Amino acid sequence: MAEHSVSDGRSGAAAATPTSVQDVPVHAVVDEQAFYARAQANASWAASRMFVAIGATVYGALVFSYFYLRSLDSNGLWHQPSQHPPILLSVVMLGLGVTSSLLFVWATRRLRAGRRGVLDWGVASAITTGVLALTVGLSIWQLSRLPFAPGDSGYASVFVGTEVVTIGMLLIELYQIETVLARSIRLRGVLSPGGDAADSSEVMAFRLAVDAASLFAGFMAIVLVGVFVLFYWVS
Amino acid sequence: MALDITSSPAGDGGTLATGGVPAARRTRNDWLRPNVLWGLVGAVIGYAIGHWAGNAIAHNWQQVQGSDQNNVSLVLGYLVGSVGFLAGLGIVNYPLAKLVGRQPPAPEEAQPGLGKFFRYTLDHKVVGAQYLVAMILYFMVGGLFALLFRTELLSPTSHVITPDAYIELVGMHGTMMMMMMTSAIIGPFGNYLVPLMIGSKRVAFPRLEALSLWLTPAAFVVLLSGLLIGGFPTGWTGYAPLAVQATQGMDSYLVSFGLMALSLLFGAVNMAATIISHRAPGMTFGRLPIFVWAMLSTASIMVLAVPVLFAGLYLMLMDRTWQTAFFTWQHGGSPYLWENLFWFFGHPEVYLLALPSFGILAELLPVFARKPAFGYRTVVAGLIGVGVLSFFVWQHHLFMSGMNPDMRPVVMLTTELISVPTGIVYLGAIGTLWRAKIRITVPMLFCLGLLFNFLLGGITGVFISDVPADTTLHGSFFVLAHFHYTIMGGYMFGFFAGVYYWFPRFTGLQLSEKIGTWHFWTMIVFFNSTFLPLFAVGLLGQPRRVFEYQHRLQGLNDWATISAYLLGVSLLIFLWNIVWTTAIKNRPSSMNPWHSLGLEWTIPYPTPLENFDRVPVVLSSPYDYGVPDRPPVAVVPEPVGVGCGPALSDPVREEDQHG
Repeated sequence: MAEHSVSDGRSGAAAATPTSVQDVPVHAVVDEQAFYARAQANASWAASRMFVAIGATVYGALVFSYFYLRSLDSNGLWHQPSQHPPILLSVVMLGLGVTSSLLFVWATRRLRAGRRGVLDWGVASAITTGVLALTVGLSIWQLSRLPFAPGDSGYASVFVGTEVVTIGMLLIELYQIETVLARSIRLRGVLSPGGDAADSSEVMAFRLAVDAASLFAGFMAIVLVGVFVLFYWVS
Repeated sequence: MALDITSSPAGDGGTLATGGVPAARRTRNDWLRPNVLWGLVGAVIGYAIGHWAGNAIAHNWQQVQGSDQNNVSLVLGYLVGSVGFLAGLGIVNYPLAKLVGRQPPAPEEAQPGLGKFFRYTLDHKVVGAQYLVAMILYFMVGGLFALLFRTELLSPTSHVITPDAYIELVGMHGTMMMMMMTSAIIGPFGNYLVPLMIGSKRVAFPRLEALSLWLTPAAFVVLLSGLLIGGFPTGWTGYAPLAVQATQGMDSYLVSFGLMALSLLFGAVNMAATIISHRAPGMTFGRLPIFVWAMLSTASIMVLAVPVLFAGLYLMLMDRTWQTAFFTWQHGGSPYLWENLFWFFGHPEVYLLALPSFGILAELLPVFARKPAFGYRTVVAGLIGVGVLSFFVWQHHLFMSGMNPDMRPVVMLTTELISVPTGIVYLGAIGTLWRAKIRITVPMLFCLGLLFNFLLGGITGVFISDVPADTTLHGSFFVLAHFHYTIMGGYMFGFFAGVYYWFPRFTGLQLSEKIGTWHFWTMIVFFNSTFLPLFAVGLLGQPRRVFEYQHRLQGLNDWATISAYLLGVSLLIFLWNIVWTTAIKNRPSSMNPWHSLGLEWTIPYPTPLENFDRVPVVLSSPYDYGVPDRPPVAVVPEPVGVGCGPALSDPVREEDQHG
């Protein structure tokens, strides 16, 4: 748009807050497309962090349960020495989950920095999707073969409860990455080098979705390490 | 469930494409399009599938064979049924289409008629109106439960219902009011008005907003279905170990509360993101309407408190289905874990109810006092302060259980401390009224009623936050009277103030002042007549949730019960007012019937699909009543060649400037 953009009152020296009609430039018009593009980018930024905060709070409640029951040791049944989930399988799942999440974060950073094209990012995302699906499958398989029952102790309960939440969270991560991957395939024409991506709102939405998925993937990598430390190290 | 937070700037996340005429979606027969009837069909099919799957999974589990109750099948039935309901409404279409990279559907056109109110729609105004009707329905049903168990309390020893039925009704009433009604203000008024108040054409995430609405009827039906399978004996707090041992009705409580928790979270994320990012140019945080500040504060509390509730409900469901032992001390768990998780949400929940009504109070008083809001920044700080402190007081619910006695004075102090920001908000309201030319209208009456009721509720709250008083009064009707004064006396009076004030904005019609005045006076008289005696009943020793009591307390109980019936009549007067206004009298309202400076009143009715023709530029505070030479609240810049456009409709300007 050729017209002046009126201050949004939120940032920068040029954004002095208008206080009278005279402050609004003649012929001024708000560039609505740019205004709502920026608004949606801000909203996406804020919402993706809120969802991470929500996820962190859910895990916070589980960690609280862990330490609360551990400190109470009700009936002497916090944790019996024989109750250990298979360590080898857990290490494999940890490795797969963390590596795939970090791979996606890394590929997204490279995409954002413009070092590689969308094909490079797409391959990384496809690998992440496959490995995450494998991790989820292994987690479900592990739950079905635990050497203790869910109600055997406080530890057993928190372990099972946390594993189920983690499977749910991994599925959300999987969904996010798969959907942006599918979107990138649909948009391959405009995303490819030479494509007219600059003004495309679709591309903007794609970038926001990729950023949100990357944030969540990073969060999940931290969560997986935290859960492993909690149940295999601290215990 | 897909968390769609990525709607595109060009409007793929909503109905509202920027600029130009949106492409119309292919028209189909209305009955074939997803609507609430298809939702019900989906719910039934989903329930059957979930129930069958649960039976297939758990039919040979030890506890199922031992108790003849399969909680797994019931819970899966509820969950898959809820998904089926959403699928029937068309809510899962786009999240599924995203899996194969499909484009978002074309924006809808504005739909005439009432049909749009029975559908999943991305228009925040329709969602707000749907929320309003839903909340009134839930409130009336919850109130009906109260009248039923108050009937039982007419006599200390002669019984109308069984003890089990009594506690089920108490639990249903409490859960309906505390759980379903959490969205009573943020749902209708927040969703409808916040975009208008901040000068936006849309909300940030219309799909999340609509999903938050449509989860509430699912939660409502699941909760009510609990009555068919024995109800739940725990009241709204769902305490363990009773909740672990209870029959299947408990599952309806857990699933419905979980669905509502999701609804609150989705609604809160959309609300906060919209306020943060979609404010019009010039709508700085320093000019944000106090109601919008209250919505932001409420949404922030929700984002941090509700996930803990969700986690607690999930753990309880795991105990009841997968036989974990989170809340069973014999197996290494602890019932006190539930108390901590529940009240970490449960006490901020009180402020999830209080803050929106404070917001309405602070928003409306300047309009009817014709004065600027007193201490705007201080009141906003008070709202934020209440929100922050609400996370540090939950343990006062554990004074009598599950808490190290040495910690009690600390929590007592934090609880008393929260009265400071609350008092600041209250004093801000009084300051606005001070030496004002007050217009006594129905919304103003409800605001004044709120001030009166909340004073009693607040002071008794400070009283029972003291450990010695709480030790004496814990679990008595005194506590019950206290929280009804804060929640019904505060929250619901704020709700009704909002309904009367913004009804013309929602419908273009003005509710009858005469009938509204009757509604107010009967409601405030019989509300106080119902709950004031219950302070005395509590002090005299009557415990809550017990359906028999001492004969000497019958007079007070009968007084309260009869008053409760009359309070019910006052709510019927409200319903009659709506019927009278919309179906019989049909009196159109003027565009700005209260002569408010609020941006939401600058738009004609019916509100255009995109709210504003162009994004407005905000120039001044919405509370500058009587301020000489104040600029208009907002202007709409005109396209090139026309120059800066006129101020948005500002009928009160001349009136204020000339006194």
